[in-house]
Amino acid sequence: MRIQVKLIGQFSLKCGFTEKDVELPDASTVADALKKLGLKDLPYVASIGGHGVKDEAPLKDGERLVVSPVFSGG
Amino acid sequence: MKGWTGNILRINLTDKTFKIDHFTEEFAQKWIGGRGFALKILWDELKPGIDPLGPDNKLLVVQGPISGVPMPNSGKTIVAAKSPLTGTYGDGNLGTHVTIQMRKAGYDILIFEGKLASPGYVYIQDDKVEFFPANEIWGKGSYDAQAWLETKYGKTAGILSIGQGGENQVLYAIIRSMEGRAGGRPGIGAVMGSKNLKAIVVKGTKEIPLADPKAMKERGVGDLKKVGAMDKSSKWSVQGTNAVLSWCNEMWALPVRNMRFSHHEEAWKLDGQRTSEARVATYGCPHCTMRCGIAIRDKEGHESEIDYENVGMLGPNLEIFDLKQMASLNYMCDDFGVDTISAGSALSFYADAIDQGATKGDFKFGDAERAKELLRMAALREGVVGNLLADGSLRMARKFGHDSEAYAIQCKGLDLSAYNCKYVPGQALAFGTSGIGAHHKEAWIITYELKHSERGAYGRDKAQKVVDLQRIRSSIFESLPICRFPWIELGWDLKNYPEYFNLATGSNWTLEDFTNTGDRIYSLLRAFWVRENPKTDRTADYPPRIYFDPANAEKEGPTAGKHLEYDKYDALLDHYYDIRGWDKRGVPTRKSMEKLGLAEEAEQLSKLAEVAPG
Ligand code: SF4
Repeated sequence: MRIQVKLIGQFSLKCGFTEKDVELPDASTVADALKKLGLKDLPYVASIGGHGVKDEAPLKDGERLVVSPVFSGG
Repeated sequence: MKGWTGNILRINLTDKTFKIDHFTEEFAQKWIGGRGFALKILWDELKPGIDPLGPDNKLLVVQGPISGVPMPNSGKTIVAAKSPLTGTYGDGNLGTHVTIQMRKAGYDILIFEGKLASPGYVYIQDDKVEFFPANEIWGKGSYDAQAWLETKYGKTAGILSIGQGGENQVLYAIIRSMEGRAGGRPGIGAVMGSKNLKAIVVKGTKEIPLADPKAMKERGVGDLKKVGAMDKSSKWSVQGTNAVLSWCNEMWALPVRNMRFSHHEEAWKLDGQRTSEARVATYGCPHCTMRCGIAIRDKEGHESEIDYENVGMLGPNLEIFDLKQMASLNYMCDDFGVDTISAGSALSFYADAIDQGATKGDFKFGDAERAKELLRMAALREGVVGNLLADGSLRMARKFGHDSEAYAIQCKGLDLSAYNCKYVPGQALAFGTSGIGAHHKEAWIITYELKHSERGAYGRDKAQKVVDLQRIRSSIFESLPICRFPWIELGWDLKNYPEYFNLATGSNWTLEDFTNTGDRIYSLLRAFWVRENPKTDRTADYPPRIYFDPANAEKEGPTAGKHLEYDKYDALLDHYYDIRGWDKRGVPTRKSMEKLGLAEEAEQLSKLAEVAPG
């Protein structure tokens, strides 16, 4: 399946893109996507459609996953 | 005493005298420094009900036991007074050379009392205090004032100054320092202006008393390097705080159009990538290796140092998406010495009130040139409109009537920082219960709400998280005082801070000692509010009314139709009060205060307001 990934702040610098489509095997989870992006071991907050998603949440084709570093409030 | 100098320099501006008082180790161990010191002193020394802009108010500049020592991000100073905006205790922190120079001059606390007969500034050099007229700098912006003082006293002198906003007692005027830094959102700059005090200059040559200077030096140098390396590898300071803008937009939590909306298609024009690409210079506080001050050029060609709060409140909140125009408004706020957040909120409220028919006027969202003109009028208190804007959104709403207070985006008089909580209940609670009004530095839990809870949930865990953050931030970050960014942004372990404290003071504190002190501070902060508002009730802890209004819910997007709900918010507030040991009105019980070592203060409070036994 293909999902859209939007990266925030230093994650976009780390991965070299801000927004792009990412191919994943069917039935992949949020954790799988983060692993593929190399972000799994960093403190992050992931969301879909303005709501947080847990690592084990299954992804659906066409979804937009937003991954952000954790902030403390600017 | 080690760590603390134990010295308070008390300066009487009315008769231009000064004396040195001393505090005890017991006082120091009970209140740490920074906010803790300022709060307790203002509680003890101010009579309830005094005019914040009258000579009875006191302006405090405060350090803590590790201030002035090279430790990661330890260059912060606390400025505090009774706030003219909220009517209760107010403070702010800013990075400045004052932190270093004041401690070298031998002081932890400066107290400015009374009022100068005519505009002037104070120069403190070790044991010497001199008073000078401010003829050359009164009426000037903070950049010119600081440049003039720097020329006279040198680049490393500690300088705090106000702009015209402070001179004219704009209720949200702040205090500025030479590194382009600002602090004191609750109008601490207006208090300084009310005392005719344009600037404070400090220079010192003494040793800072430390329990273990050698270990402290080694630790500081090493940790500064480590934090710098962590920042370099994480790349946090490339975008700095403004990285959060695009996240807020994705989360539908961005301030748009006086926070009536929470997302905008054009927000990307102002995001962290754009501000980083437009960078022309980088600034930072003393003793910092992750400098986050990104300067960009404004429309008029000035260097304008931005962070997320400025961009959010002067950009999307006003529907201004031209980076250079937003930067112009930011530069003007800095030069006039007014808080960018409250200035943005006052302007957006004014545009909204015109839209809603609550008042007549010619300002529309998106009109950057008119916004600049209005900002100038506010800072100079020019005409009726300038004066209205200078008093901030809440007072404007009270003048306009027509129920416009519902959309004055503030809590206890202080405007919300740039996080739109129309559907973020925990963050709404954080703003609602903040001891100084709606300030993001007290508790910021949006990422927690998404990662560890449900966005729309009102569970006890969120109240607990707000309390936990208020504890940590009030004790460690506001009272040491020290910048919080290494902690979350880079993952710098919280355990480092008690270790720094122990190296400086020779104590044996743990994190728990800090969090207990944080509770003491928060209890007295609330007692201060109650003392000034004896009839207070839980509505003082509500976020802006419009957040509860179904008609204000988003019409589209992931939060369409969602809004805060009173009964659920009340239940969340009950959890918060219960954790804190406060009654249903939000007043600390005698028992909870006694438990925190505040028996005397509880007794004093009970003479002015109803205090439940607990
Ligand atoms: S991270 Fe930013 S705010 Fe904190 S000390 Fe460094 S420059 Fe100052």
